[in-house]
Amino acid sequence: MENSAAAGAIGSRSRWLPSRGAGIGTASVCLCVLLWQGLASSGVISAVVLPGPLDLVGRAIYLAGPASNPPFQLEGDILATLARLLGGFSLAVLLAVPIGIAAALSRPLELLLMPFVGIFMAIPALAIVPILMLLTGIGNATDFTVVVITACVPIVVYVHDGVRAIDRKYFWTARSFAAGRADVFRHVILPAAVVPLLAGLRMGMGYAWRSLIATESLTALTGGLGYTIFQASQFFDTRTIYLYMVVTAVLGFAIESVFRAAENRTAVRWGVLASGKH
Amino acid sequence: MTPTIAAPQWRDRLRDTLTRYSSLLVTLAFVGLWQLVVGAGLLHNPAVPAPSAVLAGLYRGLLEGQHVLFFATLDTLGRLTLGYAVAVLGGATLGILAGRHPDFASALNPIVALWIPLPAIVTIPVLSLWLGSGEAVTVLTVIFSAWIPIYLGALQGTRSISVQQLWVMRAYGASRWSELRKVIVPGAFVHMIPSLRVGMGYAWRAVIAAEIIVEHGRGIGITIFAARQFFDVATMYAGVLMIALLGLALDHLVFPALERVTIKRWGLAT
Repeated sequence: MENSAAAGAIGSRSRWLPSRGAGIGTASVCLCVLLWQGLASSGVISAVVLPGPLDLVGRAIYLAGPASNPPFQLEGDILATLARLLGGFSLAVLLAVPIGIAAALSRPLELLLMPFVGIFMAIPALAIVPILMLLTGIGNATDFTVVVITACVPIVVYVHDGVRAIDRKYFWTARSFAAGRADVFRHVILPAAVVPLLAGLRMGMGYAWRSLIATESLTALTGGLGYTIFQASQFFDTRTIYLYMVVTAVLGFAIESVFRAAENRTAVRWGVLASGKH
Repeated sequence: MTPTIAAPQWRDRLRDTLTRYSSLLVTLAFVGLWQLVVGAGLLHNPAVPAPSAVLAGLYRGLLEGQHVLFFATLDTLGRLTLGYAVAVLGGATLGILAGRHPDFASALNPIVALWIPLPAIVTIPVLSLWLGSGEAVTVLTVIFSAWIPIYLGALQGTRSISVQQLWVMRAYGASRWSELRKVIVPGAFVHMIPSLRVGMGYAWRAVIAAEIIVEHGRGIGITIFAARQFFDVATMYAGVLMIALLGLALDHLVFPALERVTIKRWGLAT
């Protein structure tokens, strides 16, 4: 929901003047990059504090090649981060969807489970990282656990809300047509849960992404975007810092776009709009 | 004579009460179980203290000695408040500007789109480069994190103001200033309330994370990490408990109160 407003800006504008909004957007990005390069090349600010975009391109080529140490460091870090993210996220989906549906269908389970979801919602993931480090040891286990926990919470909340919001009449109708439990699940619960599920997945991925990068910087031992960026900051390797900031932004944007596209397509397909609830 | 009638009523009331306080009861039951398991020695893990030890740690941190946790909490809340206030002012101003001037919105769009998925934490190394590692870095991280949802809320709110209202204002010869003050700001604000809440959530996460990474001065996050070095598990859990309590209080007490005040003040119920 957050940048549907931003997307709307282009949409409402381009209906009248195709490409005006997009043109201004492109121009503004180009201007920013040019200003940045200009400021960097002018030498007003030391290249250590502000390397220009061209420096970063050079650094990216170096880090992506076999000459870096370890070789192909950039790809390695991206893969390490994505592996943790997708591994943890998959487990979170496998856990959270059944929990959300079960809590929505059974009142006792709801009363039992939802308080903990509320508490985890209030605790930033990084606050429990020190405890996780004690429990699971430094390294991948902590990163993985943080991703699972942070992704689970919004998915459970959205699926729970979505299934709860199903009109009781659908259940009655299904039952009066002698639908079995499997049929009710397949034809009533699942379609109703898909759209909130996708919104929850997007939120969960957003939270997990943020927490993972932060956790990596504290606990990872073997690479990852967050690990390397803070490593670089200790050695004042500023070009790597800036490069990894840009890479993180672009990668995050790409991940978010995938989820948003899935959400939009499904919303159109099922003829409903995703709830704007947070 | 009447127990047959009174009993269901009594039972209903009990059930209502139980349902209303179910979150609290479930949490207490869980804590009680945890206490029993640890107290009976069934779970012997130095990383999992008994709840009683955590409460003792909380008491020590808040009320005894140097009141470490108490002052840490004050400092954390100070950073949070400062960063959030700037984020609200800046985000709302930009959002209203973008809502009134579509070209400005188009220019800002791609930057916002890239900024949304950028973890605020990643800006810390760059900020430290410019400002050294100090208070400013933590507060700026909070601002960078919280301004996005607030900006988007203000943008949407400003867009949703009906043009007719502005026409009426203009027809009566209202100045641009009173247009802004009487129509645009209240109109945007009502739609901003949910995004203010989301922004606070982001700010809250950011302040704890930034404290831990910047490690400057006092703060709840810093207290937790410092306690880890001395293996003071009770203080670590006490810090997390404090964070949870404050987070819940922000979400369940502060914001509902703010919403009530706003609706009363602007006379608008949405």
